[in-house]
Amino acid sequence: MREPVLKTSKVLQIAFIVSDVQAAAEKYARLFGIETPRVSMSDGYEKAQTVFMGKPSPARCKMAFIDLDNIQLEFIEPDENDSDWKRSLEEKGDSLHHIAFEVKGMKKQIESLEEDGAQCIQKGEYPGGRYAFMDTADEYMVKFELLEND
Amino acid sequence: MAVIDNTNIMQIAIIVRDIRKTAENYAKAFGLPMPEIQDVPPVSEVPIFYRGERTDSRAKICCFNMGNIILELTEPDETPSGWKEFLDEHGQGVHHIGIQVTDRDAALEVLGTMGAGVNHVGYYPTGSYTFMDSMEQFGVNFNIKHGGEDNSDKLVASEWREG
Repeated sequence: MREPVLKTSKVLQIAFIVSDVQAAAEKYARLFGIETPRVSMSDGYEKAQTVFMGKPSPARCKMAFIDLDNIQLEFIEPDENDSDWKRSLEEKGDSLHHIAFEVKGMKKQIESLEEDGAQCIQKGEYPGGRYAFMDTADEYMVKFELLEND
Repeated sequence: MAVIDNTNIMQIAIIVRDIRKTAENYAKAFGLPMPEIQDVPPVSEVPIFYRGERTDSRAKICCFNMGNIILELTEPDETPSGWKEFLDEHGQGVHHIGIQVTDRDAALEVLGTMGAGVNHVGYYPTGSYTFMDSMEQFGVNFNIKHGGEDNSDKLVASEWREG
């Protein structure tokens, strides 16, 4: 039997692309009656090493996170640079962008999914780890994000 | 102040055109057993109100236990329902995130004040699920699930009476 492409099925995050991350974070916090999370900014290319459609990208985003009981909600507001975040906002408006899974060995995992037919749309580093958006919508009806924590 | 009184997301639900194909994809990708694909219970047992009208809504459904959350796949048929409406308007994709609440009125109230209305409700004998139209406000629809109910009054009264 073929090895599963993804070793862990636990969904770490549900993430949304939004036009206003502060407003989105406030809305969701209000819904659950919890404190509004703070907004942070992703790193510039030097630290983030963002690659979009195979090319280095200066794109950054503002983010907010809500840690719920069993899963994290993420809100992402793109900057003006071309990126998967920006294109998603342009195509779909404020909407659910991806669900995230934890992986070990990011490079191998990307290759595994690519063999399966899903290309890596965008990837980058963040303090403590790295991410990759895979175009898995055709087979899985939603974009997968792979997350590897060091 | 009315809130959604649970911070546990019970499920992520995806609307699909071909439930068998998508379920196979997920089963293979994650090395999970292929789940049983079932028909949603008939409305004679679990009445559905879609956009306020009692409807004979039907769909196929299956679930994956992802560990911390359930991933549900639903394939609507041609009958009117919140599921079919989503497929027609948005195509295949994440339909809702589901939360089990203790206070259903409060959940519907807070969502209502923030602009979301009720789209589709299903009444099990002792519990209900409610799809809210909240994509515009929240980027995703909410499914408010609730137990501890008596929904016997929602069943269509039988016209046949024992003599």
